[in-house]
Amino acid sequence: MTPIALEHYLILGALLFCVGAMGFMTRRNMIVALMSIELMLNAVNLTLVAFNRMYQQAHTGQMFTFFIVAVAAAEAAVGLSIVIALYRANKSIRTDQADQLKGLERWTRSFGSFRRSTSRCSPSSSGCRSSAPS
Amino acid sequence: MNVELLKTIYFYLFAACALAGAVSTIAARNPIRGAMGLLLTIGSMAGLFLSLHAEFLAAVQLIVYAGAVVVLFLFAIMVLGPEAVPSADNETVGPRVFAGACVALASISAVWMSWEWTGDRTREGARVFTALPTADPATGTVESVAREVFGVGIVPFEIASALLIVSIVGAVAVARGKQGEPAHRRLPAVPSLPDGLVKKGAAE
Repeated sequence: MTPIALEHYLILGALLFCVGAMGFMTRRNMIVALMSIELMLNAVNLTLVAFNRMYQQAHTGQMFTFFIVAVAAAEAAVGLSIVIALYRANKSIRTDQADQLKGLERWTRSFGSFRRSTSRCSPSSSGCRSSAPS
Repeated sequence: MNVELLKTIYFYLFAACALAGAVSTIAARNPIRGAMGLLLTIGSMAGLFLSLHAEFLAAVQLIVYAGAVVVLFLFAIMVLGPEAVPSADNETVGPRVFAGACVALASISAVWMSWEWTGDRTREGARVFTALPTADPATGTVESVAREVFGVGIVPFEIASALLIVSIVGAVAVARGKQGEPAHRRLPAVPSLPDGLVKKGAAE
């Protein structure tokens, strides 16, 4: 059995990053998307620390990891407050329903299936929140 | 017992825990379970940092991520309540599956390329692992990381502190909504007008 080498950590970091990226792409819950971003940041942290272990004359990798942790904490705070504000405005945290900036209806009307899939209150949609009596 | 075997078992144990936590983070229907998976991933990552001789970062990881960020996620999930979980319909499933497949393909090819195109090879062309060097005793201690952070990284450190302050103030301002307006900018409430003023206005 080969001893644990640099590539083990790098491949693990790559796999974690891919899992996070897939979660960010495929999930509609905005909180889960934020957690996927945290996963990706963690994977990058692991890669940086592994390279720092490889070239341990300086601690630049660990310094970067330290700053990434700070930025991730700030990003989580701001992102979650945005999620709460979005839920207050939209009564939904689905990422495909956060379309207030999509103002030009006639542009999207030509894409029939796409329009139907993103409309907030189609009759078949069970997740229709804005039409519910508040 | 062999130390190398112990190190190998340690790495694979924490790697499996990290991957399982990551998969359960993105696959769980309930966001609370997802946050627990994130917690498992973060704890396993702290263990891997320890195996990389980054003791200070392992402590920071546990304090900041497990202690603050995951708790913040849990608070947000509980504030929003169970109504905020998206329903299990099949809307937009096509674009999402397409995006997930693209990411999976790109990531598999990226891992393969980084395996094939870098690193050392034997004379027969077989890829060999890059062995980690013997650990310096000063690697990853608080003192050596602090020398780096307060040496070359002093300007980013100060900027990071400003970023944290600004983001906390911004988070409070965004999450608070309209109630956060100062009192003199709110519309005056009608019943608070003095009686004389109201009668005078009504007479005119």
